Amino acid sequence: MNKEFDEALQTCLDLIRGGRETIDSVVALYPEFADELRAQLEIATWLTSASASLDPRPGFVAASRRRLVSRIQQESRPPVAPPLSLGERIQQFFSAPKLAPVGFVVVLMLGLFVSGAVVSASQKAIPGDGLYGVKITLEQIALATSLDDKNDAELQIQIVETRFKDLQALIVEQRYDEVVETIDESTEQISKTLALIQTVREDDRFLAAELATRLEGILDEQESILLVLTQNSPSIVSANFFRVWAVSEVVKNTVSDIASIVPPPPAPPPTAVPTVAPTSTPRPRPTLAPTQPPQPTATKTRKPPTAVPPTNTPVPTNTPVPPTRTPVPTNTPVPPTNTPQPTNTPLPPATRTPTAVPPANTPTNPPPTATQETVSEAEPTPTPTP
Amino acid sequence: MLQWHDIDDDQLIKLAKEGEAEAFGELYERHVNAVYRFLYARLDNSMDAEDFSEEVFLRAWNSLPSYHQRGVPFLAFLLIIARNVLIDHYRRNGRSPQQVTIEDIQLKDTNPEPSEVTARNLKHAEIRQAIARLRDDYQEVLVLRFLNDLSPNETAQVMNRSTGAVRVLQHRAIVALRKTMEEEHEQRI
Repeated sequence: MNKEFDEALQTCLDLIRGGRETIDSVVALYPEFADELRAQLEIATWLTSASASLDPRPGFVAASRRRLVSRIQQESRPPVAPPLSLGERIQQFFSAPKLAPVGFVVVLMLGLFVSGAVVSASQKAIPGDGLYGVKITLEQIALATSLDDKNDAELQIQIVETRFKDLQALIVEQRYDEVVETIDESTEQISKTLALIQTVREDDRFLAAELATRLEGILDEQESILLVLTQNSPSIVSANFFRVWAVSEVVKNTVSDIASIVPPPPAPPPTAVPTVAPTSTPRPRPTLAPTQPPQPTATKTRKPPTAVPPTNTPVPTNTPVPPTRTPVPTNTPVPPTNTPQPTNTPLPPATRTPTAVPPANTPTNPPPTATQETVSEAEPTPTPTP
Repeated sequence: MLQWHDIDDDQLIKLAKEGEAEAFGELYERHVNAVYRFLYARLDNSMDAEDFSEEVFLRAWNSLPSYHQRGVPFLAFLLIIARNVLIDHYRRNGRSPQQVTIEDIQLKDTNPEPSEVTARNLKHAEIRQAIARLRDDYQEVLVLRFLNDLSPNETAQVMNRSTGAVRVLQHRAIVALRKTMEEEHEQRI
């Protein structure tokens, strides 16, 4: 089939559709294609004549046009509107009036969640990590918002410990590039901590001693760990570790001095009568002797355990006074000058309860069931004035 | 006063792309017959042809922003969509156009109706009976060339083939149809 034949066929169809020609008349115009042209024209004209029978029913076009126009107007599609970017879509979504509060809450919760996750993750960061800066910043914020030198010193001690742990993590992970800088940071933090403890000491020597003891303990512990870790480390790490060690030793000597200058607690006045030393030894307060004046005790004094010589605490071995029981007034050495007359002070029933009194010294023996009750009654009894 | 029917297709298409639904309504009225004919020649009943005609124009409305990129006349653009609608229809029903049987054609659209409608249905049944046993591309080229009166070039655009390929296909389709009709005639005798 060539182009000439196709053009002849098209011309013949147009002439026949014009109504003035028949198949026979048009075929005569193309004698070279006569047979083939006639066969195709018969089929083509049959199909063409049938096309009118395939038109839609009357009324369909007008009705469906209205339907179509109405439908696309309802959809109100902007055909040539440029597509929105992702940011514009999000902005459009949250700018809807009904969704504005929801959007605010979602953004707030997302912010809290993300910031919480970042803070949590930053605590595990070590030098060189992306979140390590967050960790350092949080430390600085904590220091800046601290209210007094005591809190500052406590935070500084924590920071020193954290720097040492960072150093350990770097050595364990063989990230030696960050080690030297972290050592510098550690020594700086140690010096700052020492300075703060000395500041605290001017106001509270006992608290300074406590802080110094804590710092000394941390330095001892961390030095030992680092010494082990640096055994198989490159020489650059080992060499710099000795800088930390040197600084740490100097600081330990200083804090040791601070911790040791705390004077021992005031000793009780020497008396011939065995007295109870005002020590921190657990002992029930003599509540059953309301006439006893308040004795100086060590319970309100903050002092390290080392400051109390154990030899100065004579503990009567024959004192069977359990903490929960009523102390025996007869065994309580009370200075005679301070003891008021029993007749002046009405004793509560508990004073008459000799539940813990040794049998030899107990003239009466009331039922033990009353002990708990009598104690509870005796406790609120106010101490009479001497 | 300017009426919709005074505006040419290109201008209507431009207005429709700007969101003017009435301009698209005018385009619908101008081209729906050709679309309907193309569909009805390949379908068994007029109800489906009506539904699918509207679907073709809805799809065309949604595809209008990208229309000029296709570089084909608007009718060819509509018939390409109609072709896809038909393909989707047969895919959903699990049958191809060639699988339509003569019994199907004779049973459809035979409800008592006015004489004119009945005559039209009979003619439709006759055409369907004639072309239904042809290959799908033969049916398509015959419908486009002789029922829709498209030129070989326009037919080639709708069928996504070269013009030469369409000429060869048309020749073979006519020969096949003639042979089928002769066989049918002989069986009747």
